[in-house]
Amino acid sequence: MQRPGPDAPKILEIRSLKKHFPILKGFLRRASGTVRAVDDVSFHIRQGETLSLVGESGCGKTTTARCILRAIEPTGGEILFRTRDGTVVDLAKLKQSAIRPLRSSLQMIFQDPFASLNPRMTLLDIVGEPLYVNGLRSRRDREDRVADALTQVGMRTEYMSRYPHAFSGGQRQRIGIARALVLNPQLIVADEPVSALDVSVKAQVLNLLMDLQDRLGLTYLFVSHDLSVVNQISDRVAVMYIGKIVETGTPGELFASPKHPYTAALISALPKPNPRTRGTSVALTGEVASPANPPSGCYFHPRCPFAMDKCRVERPNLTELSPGRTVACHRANELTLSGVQNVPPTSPIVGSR
Amino acid sequence: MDLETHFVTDEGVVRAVDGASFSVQPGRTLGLVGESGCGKSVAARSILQIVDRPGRIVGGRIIYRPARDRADGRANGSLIELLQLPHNGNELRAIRGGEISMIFQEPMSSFSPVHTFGDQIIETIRLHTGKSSKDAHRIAVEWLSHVGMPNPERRMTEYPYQLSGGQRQRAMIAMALSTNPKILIADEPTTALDVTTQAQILDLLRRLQRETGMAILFITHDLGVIAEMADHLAVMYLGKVVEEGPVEQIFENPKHPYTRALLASIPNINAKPRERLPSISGAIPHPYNRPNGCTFHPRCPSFIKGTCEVRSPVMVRTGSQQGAACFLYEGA
Repeated sequence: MQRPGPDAPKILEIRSLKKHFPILKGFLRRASGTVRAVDDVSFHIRQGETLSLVGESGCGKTTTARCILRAIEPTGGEILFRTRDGTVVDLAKLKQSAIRPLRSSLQMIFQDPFASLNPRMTLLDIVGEPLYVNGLRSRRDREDRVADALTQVGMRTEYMSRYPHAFSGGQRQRIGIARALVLNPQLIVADEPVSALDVSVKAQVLNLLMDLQDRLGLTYLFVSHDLSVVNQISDRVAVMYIGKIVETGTPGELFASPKHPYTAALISALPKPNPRTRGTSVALTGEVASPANPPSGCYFHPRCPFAMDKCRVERPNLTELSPGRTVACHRANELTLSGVQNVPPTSPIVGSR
Repeated sequence: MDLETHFVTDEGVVRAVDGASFSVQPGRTLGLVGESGCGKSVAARSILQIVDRPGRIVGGRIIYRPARDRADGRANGSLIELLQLPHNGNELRAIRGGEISMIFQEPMSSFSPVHTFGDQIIETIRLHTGKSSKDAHRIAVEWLSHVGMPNPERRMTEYPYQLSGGQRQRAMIAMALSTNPKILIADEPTTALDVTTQAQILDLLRRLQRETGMAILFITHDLGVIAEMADHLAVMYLGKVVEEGPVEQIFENPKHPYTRALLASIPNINAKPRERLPSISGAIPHPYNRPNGCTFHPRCPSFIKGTCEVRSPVMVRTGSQQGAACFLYEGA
């Protein structure tokens, strides 16, 4: 299937998005500092493509996603969304009441398939609720739409009157996807949608997400910490570290020849399903710095094996190396970092004896 | 050996572990892999007899060969049947946490939130070695610095909530190893951690194993982690070990259809982007509703009609040290 090229329209453009949380102290709850959870983040997603945000916990990837949906209020920046009729609106500036009609175009899939479905609602109620809220009051019409959505995700429509407890994790995640699909959205924000699933089911759900995208022309913002999953599903990837994007590119470019030492470290730390390459990973020392008190200069310098004096003082800007390929590192042009070594995969051919 | 732990509930008996056999050698790591609900954690907990109610170990044997230098001088090199020991007796208590230690997935819920790390580690050491509190304090600080904890003296006076996930996991490893165990059971020790922290913890466990020569029973669902850690592998499905063997052999030449499908469905960073993954059809059956015959047969691509749904396969040799419980290899 042909993937959307660089001439496809931008469905979402984020410009210097900021989300700062105040740290409240004492009896009077005075702000004593700020946590810069998302700090000047810019990126765009084209119609029909998948952009992944990756990074360790606390890097701001989920906060970014939630700001886009206005589940939390951004502190600054622009969130330009291209609606179905082609007009561009700034979601960051709209009132909550003005966003309501747009909500059907922006949907979310959550990480935990056990926590995100109400155990006291049937599938019809769970998947049908967005329809009801958006004014579809006839029960028969809702049943039809819910049946469609369930079929799309590969669930039998007879299950409609059952409760979530009757389903496994993978099936519940399909229900969550059906709920996101039922309003025919344009953009789906998927926050770690397969992290809680078992390996065998993870592959099924990833395949389903890709099939749905091909069939319905969906656009995904995919939030994940798992680089191998991201490699499988994305058209482009943005790596985040302490509230900032440090590198962007296609998964091929990014994983084969990372330009930022942090990206290289993430790749190296990934456990490889090959016992022969054991012990080749270079572990990163130290821990992620607190976004309440980030280091000076480049935020990554205390853990970076290539840091020089300049890195301790001056913060690097995100600069473009080639179209669509950006990196925020002072030494991006001099360093040669190793990415994924092309070890022959050990996985055998399924079904052979 | 032939371990069986069943959960007797109102709705029926859940055979969480249903005749699983495996062994761990000193200085080696056995990886116990499987998806959620396959019984890997229950099997590990059965070894220490800390299975939660209503779980009960109903059959099988657990044999432990203690080191020759046991403190009390008894049972020199002779075998101990752990299941024969009284459930709450002193002997089992001495082994549990002493000679066989365990680390868990979520370090936050494994520490007491109202005691300092220092107090908790010191208590463990004193209980199992009878050292004075001053000696125990010294040993605790030594272990904390040994697991790479910055500022160990200060950590002794801190509470679990004050540390990050990776540091709590280091503290738990320090506590588990402070009694010089011969066997360490690690139940998903890195699942809750970020990849970079995970790499640090795996490195640490490998280094400590080299230094102490302890055996590790490593439980995980992550085949990538298992490839990094294990020497030997046991793959579990619905309470049974379906394949076992040296880790290289299983990764390069898996025999059981379940192992094959599992390995093929790992998202691979070497893969071509947007490529569809081969996946196992269906889902893991509900434990109350276990299929007859080979429990994998409804999902199996090599299903043999008339055999797989009728009889249970037994473990047969498929290689020099490799075995699989599958009819494909019976009589071969």
